Amino acid sequence: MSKSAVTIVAIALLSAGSAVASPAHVRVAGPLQAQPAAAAPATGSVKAGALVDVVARKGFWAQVRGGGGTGWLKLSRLSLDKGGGAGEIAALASGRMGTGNVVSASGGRGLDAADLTGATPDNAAVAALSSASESAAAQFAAAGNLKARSIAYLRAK
Amino acid sequence: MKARICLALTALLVTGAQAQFKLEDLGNLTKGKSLPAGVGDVLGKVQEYAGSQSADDEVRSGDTIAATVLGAAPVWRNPRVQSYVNLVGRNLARQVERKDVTWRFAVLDTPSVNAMAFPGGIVVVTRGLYRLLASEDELAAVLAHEIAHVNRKHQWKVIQKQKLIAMAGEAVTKGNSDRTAQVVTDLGTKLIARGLDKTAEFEADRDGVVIAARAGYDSSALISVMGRLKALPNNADTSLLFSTHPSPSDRIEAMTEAASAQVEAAAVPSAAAARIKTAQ
Repeated sequence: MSKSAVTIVAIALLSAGSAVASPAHVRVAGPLQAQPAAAAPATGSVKAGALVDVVARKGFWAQVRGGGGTGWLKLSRLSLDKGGGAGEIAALASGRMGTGNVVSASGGRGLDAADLTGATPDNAAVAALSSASESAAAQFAAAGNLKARSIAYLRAK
Repeated sequence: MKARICLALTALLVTGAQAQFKLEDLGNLTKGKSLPAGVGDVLGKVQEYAGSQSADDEVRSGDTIAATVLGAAPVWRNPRVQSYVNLVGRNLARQVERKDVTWRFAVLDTPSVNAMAFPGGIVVVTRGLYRLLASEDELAAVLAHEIAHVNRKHQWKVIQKQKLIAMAGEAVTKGNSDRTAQVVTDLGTKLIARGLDKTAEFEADRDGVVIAARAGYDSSALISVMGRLKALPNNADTSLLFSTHPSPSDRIEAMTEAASAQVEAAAVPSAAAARIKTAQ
């Protein structure tokens, strides 16, 4: 299949949301849980290399069918580079499609490495950049019912 | 002291460190026993120097580097979107430690798919990326990653270290501030084209997830964004993004493995998710 055909399939799958089952290979063997939480009871297990159908994604978890059952596992236990390609993407981008088109056909200048090298600096544009005050931002958060919470930074694993 | 640093660096460069010289590598070398006494001290001073530059310097340099990017891709003439992105960004920036930067956010009028941070607090998202985003949570995820780069001074530290090396190779630089500024701008522009190392990108992903979650957003929204990026072809619009970042799959894997129980509990769409529809 050509690259553009893959893209078209991907768009179709993304548009259909997470209802579409898509194949993926299991990278790390282990249990399938009843809910997307490590503390949830196990409903079965999957072996490394097993082919499963991804039926949904929630947060950092994927719901899969295969290996004799249905259950949840962490996304990092799936092999995302290999396998169906377009298929598993449907399960990764949850929710509705973006506001625009995946394959951007709109015009305008690009921004690749060569464009940067040849660019004439626009200092006036930098000086004209807008900003928001901290109080306006706080008001905006309250209007969106966003509540700040205390969460510790993550360490690499 | 400055002269000693320059001399030591020049010596190190001559004795085999290549153009792709990394200070961290030298730091590791000093753990061995073969380096002459004193080199470790000098390297420590260099690190100290890189961290000691004032925020004013950082903002000034970052603005000059941003001017080159804005010269290549102008700010999108869509005041509603610019104002909206500034509010989302500024609210996220309230969640980080640094208070000495001038936060400014902008969407650039280019179909390229990318986002960038500059030392001192300018963060840009391209129109190509903005249009892919399906929720305010996804926009917050992208902006939080960039805010994390500024908060950790990722770009600024690389520029400072490379500046010292570049200056060590030049005979007459002392007191020539125009020349110094030019060197910093050139290094900054090159850094945008070349990208940070993967460690910094993974760190910005982990920090970004936390910063967005602290502000009340879905901690897993960056994974949704990665899903969208994964679906894009590698072409003129995505080449810079893909060449300067680890693959979306690797980033999903690293974020998922690092996620704590606290972060997982925050993987719920926010009440403000649909607000992005009002700013198009």
